[in-house]
Amino acid sequence: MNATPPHDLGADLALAQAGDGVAYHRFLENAVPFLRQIIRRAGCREEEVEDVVQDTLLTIHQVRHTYDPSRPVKPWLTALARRRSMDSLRKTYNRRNRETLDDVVHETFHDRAANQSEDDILTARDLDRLTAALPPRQREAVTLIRVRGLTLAQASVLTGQSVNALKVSVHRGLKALRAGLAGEPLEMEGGGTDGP
Amino acid sequence: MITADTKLNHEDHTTRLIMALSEHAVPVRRLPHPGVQAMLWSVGAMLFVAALIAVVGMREDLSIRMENPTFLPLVLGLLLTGMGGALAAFMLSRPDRSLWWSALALPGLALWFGSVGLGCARDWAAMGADALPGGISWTCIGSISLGSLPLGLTLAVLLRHAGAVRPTATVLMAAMAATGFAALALTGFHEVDAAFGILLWQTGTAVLVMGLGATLAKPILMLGTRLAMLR
Repeated sequence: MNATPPHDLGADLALAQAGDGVAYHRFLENAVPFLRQIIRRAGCREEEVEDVVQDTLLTIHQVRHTYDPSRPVKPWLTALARRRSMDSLRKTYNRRNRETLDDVVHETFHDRAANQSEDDILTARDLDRLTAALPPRQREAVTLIRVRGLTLAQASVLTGQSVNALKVSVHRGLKALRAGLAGEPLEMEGGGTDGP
Repeated sequence: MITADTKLNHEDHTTRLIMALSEHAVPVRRLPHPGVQAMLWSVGAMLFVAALIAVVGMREDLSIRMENPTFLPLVLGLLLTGMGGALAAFMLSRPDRSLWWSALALPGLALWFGSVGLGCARDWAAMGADALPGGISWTCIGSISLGSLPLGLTLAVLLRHAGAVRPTATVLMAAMAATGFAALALTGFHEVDAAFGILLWQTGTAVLVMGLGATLAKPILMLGTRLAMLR
């Protein structure tokens, strides 16, 4: 008798359109399992599902004003999830057509950089450490735009930073990362505020 | 290879994204019904067509042209293409509406192309090769391209959200609507008798504009977003 009442996704989205952050959080949270189901059914690989879910959530945020509360919400969500799934499948297909995976490389180039031992190669962990050391706004901008591949406009919606401020943050963040990878001491341009 | 750790990490990102998005839950203005939007835009487009004909001057041979059996179907076809294309574009721009709405533009398009085709067949039967146009009609090309520009730009602003949904199909329908009304204005002020002239310079330019719209759908909708931000 303790069962929680089923959430009305459509009603929550209608409240979110009016600016209700709590209803919006509830809507997004409850929509995610449904989105995962649609994305898996569309044929996305398991390791891509969560990326596509996140892309779909961003699209929902961008076009939430197009939802008509007098209509069912699931077809609206399904269409957006399928759209982002198709984009992801297209991207994967194009990448497979362009790139060839070769695990064993018997010959390399003469260039010294092409013959570095494994120890010399910086691991993703190093990059994570350097990224974590960036000022918050630079870290946020680099992660969203360069790692997650969001457009400046999407990142602007998400962070509340202007497009120009994001460009500056990405530029400064990458400069600091490059310096860090080259073994130079990490110099934070613009300090913690990283304003232009 | 996906591991439990990476999956958890990804799901953690999703949770953080939900937090970030709900923190930015500013009120948004819900879009009116697509039918209402299409009707208002079509009324605006008709006023634009009337104003254009009034400024340039109505063609003097209108009463003679009315006797031609293909003239009224052509006018009706252009009007239906404009209105049907607009309704189809507004419907397709909504995520939950079926792609079948694009069929709305077809009756008008069939009437438009059919009446022009029939006119060509009649002229060919009567005059043979003499029915072919002698030169390029810059008035037709200019009127269709420039006339559809303001109509198309207003649609790009109103349909800008379609970039995340169905950009190509939406802009193709919008281009049909804009060229339909631009061709209607042209039919009202430009005296062209030869059906082959209409086929080549009026219908041909309209098809090119539609193709260009569909090819450049995403940049066009991005331009619409930028124009909307200027308001």
